[in-house]
Amino acid sequence: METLSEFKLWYLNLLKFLNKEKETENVEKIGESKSFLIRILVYVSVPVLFYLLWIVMFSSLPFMQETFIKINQSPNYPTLAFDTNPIPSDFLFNVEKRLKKLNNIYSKFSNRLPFLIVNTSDNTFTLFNNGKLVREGICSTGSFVLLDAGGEKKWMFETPKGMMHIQGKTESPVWRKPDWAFIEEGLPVPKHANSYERYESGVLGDYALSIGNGYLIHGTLYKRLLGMPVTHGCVRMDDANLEQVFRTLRVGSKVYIF
Amino acid sequence: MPDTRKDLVWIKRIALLIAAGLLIYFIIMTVIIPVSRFNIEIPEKITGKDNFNYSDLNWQLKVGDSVKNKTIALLSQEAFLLSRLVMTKSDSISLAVSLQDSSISLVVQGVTIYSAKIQAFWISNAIKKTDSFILAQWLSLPFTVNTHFSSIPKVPVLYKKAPKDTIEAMNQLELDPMKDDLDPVYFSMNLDRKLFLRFEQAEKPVKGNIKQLKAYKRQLKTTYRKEIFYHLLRFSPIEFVPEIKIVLDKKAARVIYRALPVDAFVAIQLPE
Repeated sequence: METLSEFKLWYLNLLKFLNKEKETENVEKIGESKSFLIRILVYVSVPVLFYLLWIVMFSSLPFMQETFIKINQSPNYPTLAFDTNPIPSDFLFNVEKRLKKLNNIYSKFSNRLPFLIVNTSDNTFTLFNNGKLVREGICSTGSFVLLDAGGEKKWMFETPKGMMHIQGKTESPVWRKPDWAFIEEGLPVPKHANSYERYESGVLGDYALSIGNGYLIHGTLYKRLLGMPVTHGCVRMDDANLEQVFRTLRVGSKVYIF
Repeated sequence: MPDTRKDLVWIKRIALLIAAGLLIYFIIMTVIIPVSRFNIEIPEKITGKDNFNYSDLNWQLKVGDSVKNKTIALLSQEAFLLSRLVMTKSDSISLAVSLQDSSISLVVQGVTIYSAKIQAFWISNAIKKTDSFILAQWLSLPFTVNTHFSSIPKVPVLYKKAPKDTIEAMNQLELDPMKDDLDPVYFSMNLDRKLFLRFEQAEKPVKGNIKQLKAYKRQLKTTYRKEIFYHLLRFSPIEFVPEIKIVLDKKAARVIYRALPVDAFVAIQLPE
């Protein structure tokens, strides 16, 4: 019995010892894993922080430059340092004289002749005569559609921008349909340039003014589309506006399109 | 084991030193040198020519503030006029920006074909701090647009495939010509003689249509960062470019961006 109780005691002590060992092992393991995690955190966070710092530096660069800007003008350029230098007596007079002269030169550029301005973004027009606005309204301009018929057959329906001149005026114009007009409708293109199928009257309104390269200012049957970019490059107007434009502009008059 | 730890400590120290060195290098090359070297670039045509008669300067009289302001205003007007006169020689559409009148116009050969009101503007400190006389010389020739970025296409092309027959033509969907009306309008232009013009719409962008705005901002940032890296890698300091930001209504911003040719002339008048 004694040996049995001794064995029990020994066994209990052993268990205690073993548990402690395990505990210390666990503590060591936890410690190791903690330091490993910390190490990983440091190795990840340092580059991330560094990267963030660079982003901050980049985005704050304009602000820093603006804040610390210095002006070091080259001594070659004289300056008007009013606070330190006196100003020449005739300087102001000379500037005023020059300005008057320049204003006179610039005023000669203002157009007294009739001219037309077409705004392709808003699809509006303004007509001027003798330096005064005589009419304004809506119009239709190029749709910016790129019609692709395969191969090299491509057409861009854009109203040309810049300064044009009226090159011709026609009453009761007849439209000679170009190739794209047939292709767009899925119709076969007539072989001859002057084929009768190409001619269509009444679709361009009562008047047409040519601005070169086949582009016209003309009337339309589709009045509900005025004010929208729907044309093949020409400028469309309603009948009343077109008539006034036709009567006001002469051959050679300027048309500004933007 | 202790040797490895020592090595690690040294590696850490060296890495820290490199990082700090890079930061210092970055600050020197991108902030300190550019801002201390910055100079307004006066066009060669102006220096030494008689647009401004330097030789006549005969300093005799001290002036008060009113004369000083009047002189600056006249010089600014003169520079703007000179610049616009140069633009009249071109057949193409040019841009005239008067921050003094808060107006922006498209001009062709001296004829104003479109004008709009500037809602707000912001000018770089570099311009504000520069002597008015030097600014007048700087602005007395038009700038030329070198590059441009925008949130809308310059030409809003709609692609259409030609129909095979009349039935296909009838069934073809109509393309919406006004489809980009809701797109936000932001654009910027890099001008010669070191000036950056940034245009923004006054209206808040529509929620569903900010994709283009994000793409535009990303493009601006990328270009800017690429340039910085380009200089940093070649040990050359970047150039400081002053900026003018102009806020317009959306319609005007779109009209102006689409009307201007790629290498347009730009005349600028600064506020007094």
